[in-house]
Amino acid sequence: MIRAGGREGGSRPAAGRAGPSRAAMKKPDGKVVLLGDMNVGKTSLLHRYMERRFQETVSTVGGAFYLKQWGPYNISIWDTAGREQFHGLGSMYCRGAAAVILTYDVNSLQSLTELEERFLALTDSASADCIFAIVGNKSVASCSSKVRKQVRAEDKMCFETSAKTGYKVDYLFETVFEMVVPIIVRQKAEGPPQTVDITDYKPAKRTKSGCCA
Amino acid sequence: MDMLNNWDKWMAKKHKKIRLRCQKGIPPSLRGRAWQYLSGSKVKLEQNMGKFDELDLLPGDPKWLDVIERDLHRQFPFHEMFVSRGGHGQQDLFRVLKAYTLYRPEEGYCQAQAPIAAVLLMHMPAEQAFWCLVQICEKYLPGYYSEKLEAIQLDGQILFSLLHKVSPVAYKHLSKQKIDPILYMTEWFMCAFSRTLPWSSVLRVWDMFFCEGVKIIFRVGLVLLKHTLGSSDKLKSCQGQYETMERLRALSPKIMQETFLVQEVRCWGECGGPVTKFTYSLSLFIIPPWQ
Repeated sequence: MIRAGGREGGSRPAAGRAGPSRAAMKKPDGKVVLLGDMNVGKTSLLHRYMERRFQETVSTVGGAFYLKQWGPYNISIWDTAGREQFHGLGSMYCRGAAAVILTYDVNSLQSLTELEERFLALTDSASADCIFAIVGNKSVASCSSKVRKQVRAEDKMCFETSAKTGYKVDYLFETVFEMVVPIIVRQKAEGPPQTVDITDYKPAKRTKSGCCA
Repeated sequence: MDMLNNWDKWMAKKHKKIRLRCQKGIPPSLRGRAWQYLSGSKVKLEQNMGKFDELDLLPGDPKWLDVIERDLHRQFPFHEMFVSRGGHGQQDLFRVLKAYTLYRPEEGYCQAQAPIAAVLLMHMPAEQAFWCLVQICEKYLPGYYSEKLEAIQLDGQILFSLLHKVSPVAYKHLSKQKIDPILYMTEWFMCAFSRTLPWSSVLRVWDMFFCEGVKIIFRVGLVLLKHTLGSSDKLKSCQGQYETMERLRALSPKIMQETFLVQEVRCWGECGGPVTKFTYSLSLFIIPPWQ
């Protein structure tokens, strides 16, 4: 099957390369979070992108995160459970996120409305300039779904993907990563973001530069 | 066999022997029956004859049915029993989970109950599996599947405190990396390791779990953490938060291997390890919020 529209990682110099095999410590520089109702295919999307294949997944209990090297940066991608019940556990998931991928199932209007009703509120703790992407998964490339019309067509950050065939999965993640990079750069320039616990701060530094005469 | 046929006698007089039997592994042909005896679900069924059939005939709350249906094909998708959509395995799973939402409407359905019920269904018919699930949700892991999931968060903290005693190195590392227990132990505990361990280890852990209760889950968790992050040597290759999470997600097959894992868990039990004492003392003064 042709992976329509999917840009292979190799199209970008440093992008598709697998993580270094060295034991070097990989520190996540930016954070991308997948949100959306249960069974819309969040885990499958991530699995397709990271492992390059589709596989029947099990329902997500709790969450998980993966690391993707993107140019000089490491981007962590967080998978979450869709059920409301698990939201209580997930306040840490969105904290400081540079991008949130809101996922719905193109065959379920309900899953789209849930994004606004339930999931948007969870993103309050994300970075102030957080990027939002809206993704309709389980797309059958050739036919237009009823749900699609509900999504504003002029919005550039709307995607339709299929984790099963791989349709536009790479395109989605890579577009998001591209847009995340400036945020990472800004976050770095501004120093440690709020996600870093203040206990990390070493008072010694302060005394050193204390006298600035 | 004699154990099962004269259960009350054995339970009253030779509980130690039963525990030993469970630690050595229950023979596969008897496992389903033994689990029902150990959990007390057999008695529960006898006390509630016909109750399951009654619940089975009720339509159920559409809100829960919808959620359950969307999960049916996502439990052990490679197991022959659950592989086909609408097959017997998935049908029974639906019946058991639906019956539970009717039995405890205030709790409803939690996604982590599906793998638990699926493992039970691999060993017993739907009615028996239902009562066994009831026992797990009410007696073994109370509050784990409740709406706000307070119990699992509390147990995450308890696990972490225990780790401090069991493996200060692992504890310090996880603290430093700010890895909240919720990030790695939610699925372990809520699914009673059914999705984490290789299958033969799952069965051995469940044998002990049914006999000795939740402390087995704690011990398994601690064994895994200790042998993954418990020495400076092991930490060399996972210095960062990401590497640590990765290591905990893809645990070494060696430490999950049946013989090794059971041996470690048993050893801690016999040495009167910290788990027994500490969880007990904690349970004495913490009044869980869900009660």
